[in-house]
Amino acid sequence: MLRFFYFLALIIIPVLFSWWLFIPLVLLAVYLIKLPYEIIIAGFILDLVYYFGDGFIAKHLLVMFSFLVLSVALFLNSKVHWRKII
Amino acid sequence: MIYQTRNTKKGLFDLSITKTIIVIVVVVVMILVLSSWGPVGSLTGNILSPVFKTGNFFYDNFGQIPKYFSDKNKILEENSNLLNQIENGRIDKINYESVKYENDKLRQDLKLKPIGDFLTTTIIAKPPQVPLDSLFLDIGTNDGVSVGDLVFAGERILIGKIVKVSGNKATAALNSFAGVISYGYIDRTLEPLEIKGNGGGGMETNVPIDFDIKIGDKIMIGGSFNSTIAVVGAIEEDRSSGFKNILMSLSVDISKINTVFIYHLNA
Repeated sequence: MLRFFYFLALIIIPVLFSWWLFIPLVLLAVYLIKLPYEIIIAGFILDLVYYFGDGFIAKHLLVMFSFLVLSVALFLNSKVHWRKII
Repeated sequence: MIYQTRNTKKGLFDLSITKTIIVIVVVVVMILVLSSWGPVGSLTGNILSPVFKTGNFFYDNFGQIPKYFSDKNKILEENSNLLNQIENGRIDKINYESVKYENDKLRQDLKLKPIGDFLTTTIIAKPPQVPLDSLFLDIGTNDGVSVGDLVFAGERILIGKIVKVSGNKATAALNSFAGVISYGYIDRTLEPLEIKGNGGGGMETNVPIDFDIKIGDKIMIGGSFNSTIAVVGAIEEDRSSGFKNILMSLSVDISKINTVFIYHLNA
């Protein structure tokens, strides 16, 4: 349940205050949640409403950032002991 | 008794990881497909619109908090200044109305294309809620807006254009958006100029050191609109290269406007 609320916060907090808050929230999600796949969905939703420029990378900037962070988390998952907090 | 050592170390891409990667790839493909499907963008914009409005309300009122604790004399002084500004504004409005009437008459006499109807819309979110130099607007394809339409802050102040549009929401990129190139001319000398957006409300251009340009010069855009797009704010001379860097800003303070006007180009 906490994981779901964090997912909602991941979308609502950047929309409410500022788009860049998505970046620290994603990093915090990777720290708090074991393999947080939902950050990709949150990035996708925010990419739909924000405009960072034309071109593939700019159009999918937050999804790609989430994907990158998740890939690193996946790699670290088999390398380090991961404490599941939420 | 024989003991055999057993390697329990998991490989980097063991079965669960491979499955995970497959799931992620499927999700990413779905995301790419869905992002190009219009109704998804429209639905997302509608759902998040109240949150954007709440954030905008927060930012509008956040700046007012120090005023609740300001000194009485300062408030009186500010009140006096505001009264003067209202009086000046009233006189300017009368002048504007007369010039506008004259302009309309001249357009009719010269059989010039009349200035089209502007669509008025409110700004749902502006920076820092959304990325710098973009505006989230409460208007969309249902109102006849399409990508490339011009966005004005006043009748003669062009601030950007529509870059992303869904059913009833649109995103406008300002002229100062990083990488955006605009072509205009200096109002005082009519010299043409190419302006590049720097982001953060700023624009710049490089001109030869003997180029006639001053701080405060207005940069206009031609065509049937003749609108202001920027104002020169600073000039940095580099004598070694023989060029000077002209720094400009938008003609209006985006944080102080709540309404913009859209001109549909194919109207």
